[in-house]
Amino acid sequence: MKLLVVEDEPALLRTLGRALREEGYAVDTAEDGTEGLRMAQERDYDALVLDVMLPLLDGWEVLRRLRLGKTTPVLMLTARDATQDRVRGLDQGADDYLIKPFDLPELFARLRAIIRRGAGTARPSISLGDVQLDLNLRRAEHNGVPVALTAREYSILEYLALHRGELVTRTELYEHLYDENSDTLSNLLDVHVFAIRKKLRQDLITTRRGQGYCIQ
Amino acid sequence: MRLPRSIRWRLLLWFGFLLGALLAGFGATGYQLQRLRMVGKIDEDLSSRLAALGSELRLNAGPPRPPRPRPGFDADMDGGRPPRHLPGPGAPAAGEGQGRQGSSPKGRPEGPGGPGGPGEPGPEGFRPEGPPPDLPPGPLVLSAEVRKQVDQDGYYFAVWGQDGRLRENSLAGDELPIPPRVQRDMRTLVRSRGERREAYHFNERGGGLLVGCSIAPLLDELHADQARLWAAGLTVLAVGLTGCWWITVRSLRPIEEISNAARRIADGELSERILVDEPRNELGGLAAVLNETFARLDQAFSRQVRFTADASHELRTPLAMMISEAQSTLARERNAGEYRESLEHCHDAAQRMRALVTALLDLARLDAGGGGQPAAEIELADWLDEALDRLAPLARDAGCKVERDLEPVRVRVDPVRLGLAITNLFGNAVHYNRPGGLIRVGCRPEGDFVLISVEDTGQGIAPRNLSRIFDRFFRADSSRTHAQGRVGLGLAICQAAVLAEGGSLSVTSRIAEGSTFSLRLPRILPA
Repeated sequence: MKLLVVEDEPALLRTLGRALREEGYAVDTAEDGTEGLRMAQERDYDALVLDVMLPLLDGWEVLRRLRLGKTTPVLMLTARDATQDRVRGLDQGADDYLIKPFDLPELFARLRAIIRRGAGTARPSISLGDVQLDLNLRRAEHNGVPVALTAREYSILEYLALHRGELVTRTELYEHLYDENSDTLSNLLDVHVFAIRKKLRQDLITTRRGQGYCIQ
Repeated sequence: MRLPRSIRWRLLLWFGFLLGALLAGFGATGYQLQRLRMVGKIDEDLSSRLAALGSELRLNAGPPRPPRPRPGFDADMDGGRPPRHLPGPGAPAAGEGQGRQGSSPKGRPEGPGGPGGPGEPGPEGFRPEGPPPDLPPGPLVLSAEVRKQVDQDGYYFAVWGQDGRLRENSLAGDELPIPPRVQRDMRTLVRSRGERREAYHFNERGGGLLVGCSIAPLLDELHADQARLWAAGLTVLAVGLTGCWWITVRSLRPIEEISNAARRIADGELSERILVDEPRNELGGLAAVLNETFARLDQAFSRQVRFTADASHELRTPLAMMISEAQSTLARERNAGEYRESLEHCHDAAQRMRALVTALLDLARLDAGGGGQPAAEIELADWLDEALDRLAPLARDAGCKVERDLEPVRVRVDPVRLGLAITNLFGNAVHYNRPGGLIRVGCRPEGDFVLISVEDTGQGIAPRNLSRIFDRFFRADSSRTHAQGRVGLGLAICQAAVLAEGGSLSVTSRIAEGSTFSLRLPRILPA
């Protein structure tokens, strides 16, 4: 899962970036509205964390312009807690709203929720035959037995599971799972997929040579 | 009795009271005039009949006298009325009493039926036709003509002898008291007795004549007039009160609208305004003034709301940083370096909050009007010198030079407030200066003011921002650089402090050359 965090407070941006990466997300960051909007329009993020008070272009405007073409789930982050601010944010197309100061676990939970809804499922778990994915706990089970996956392996599995039945290209996977801070070599993808197959089930992930991966 | 509280009712009450008093005055005057006019007419009539009676008696009593003109009598008659019933040529000499004509009516007896009233005597001009000789004993002999005048149609007469004995009273049976006689007063007088009006006079020997009539019809007529006056007065009063009610309702309606609007505003609809129909009248003016006040209130209120929102935003952000940082760090085991870094971030955020809280408290104190200390008279140059000594390290750390140009001048200020202003201005001058730049601080008298200037050689302020730099939380560079505890309140604090001291703060700036802040304070003129 790849997120874009737009926040003009460098310290907060740094902290959020670190925390979200440790949660297993790939995180891009932007410090002002213009850059944030450009990045959000160029790439398909799984979710946006958008501060309202931004230099150059405020959060409302970023949201309005983004909604002209994109349906990326957006979580607004703001220090204003007046009801009219929240209503305005939700009415303008924000998917959720969080008031500073917030608790990180709540931010994570809300992000998971809007990503799930963005992928078309409201349930917090995905069943792939004998393999169960718990999206909240970020955990996979095989026949009811928890399987230890690394954060990266889980992310790949989760992304493929959320796009079940679709062909997910390697590029797409890179875009959604790696951020500008990652310097992973491309063949590592194959290593991760190999590990997932080995830990769960060999035929869980189908490889389309030269195209990508798919979970049926 | 307590007056009703409603202005409308009070107006109505007062108006009714005034109108009633006016109408009563008019009615009473009209009634009195009418009464006097009618009584006067009767008195005149009675007097002429009395005169006729007198001359008849004289004629019958004494020997005939040669006719003589009576200029005095004619002259006395008003309006050239023909002297009816007067025995013309046979009249006795009219000499006596002539000199008393027009004499003061003092001592004239008042009738028992009420005051003779003002304007009464038409008959004053009348005089008896001379002293009748002693009346012959026996029944009085009156010609039919005279008797018709004094003894018919409700008239009656009475005659008293010199001894005061009633000689004849045509009111057979009714008691007729002899009028009081003032010594030697021979004028014709009138009196009211119950429903009767009587004219009488005495001759010099004490014999008296009286002619009277009933004034009952006249009183009835007056009563009818009185009733008509009452009716007319009450009608006018009712019409007047109705009109007054209408006028007050109409003229108070705008007040009602104003108070309704004010009530809605008091309930929190600060954008509400009073509709002004007629802006030029008094209430229109009042409404306009109120509207202006409401607009200012509205502005002040929204400024306050915005300020509170900004303040809470500014406070929430470092809090969010601290909480996120701590939660993220504590989520798993870290090495010492990571913990150190995390603590540093938290420390930065806490420092920023401290700066912000300090600034907010400063502002709140200034807004509340309280100062740290009572105003004191200080020698500004010395005070600034000390202050700059304290602030110098700030400039030195930033590599700025400080020039002082201080002329001795005295001001009366709260040193705490002035300190706030100077510290903030100096801090800005350091922060926005170019490296190795210059800060020039000066003070000098300027008319009735003392001018303190803080000049820097920094980046300058864009003209479009000049009017906004004193706004709370306004930052010219838009991006939030919170280095060195800059929270966007410094200039707002300066301005609040200077305004609280009765001074003013202004700025001039040239891009890339620097800015000059000019602080003016009321000066204490040397004695």
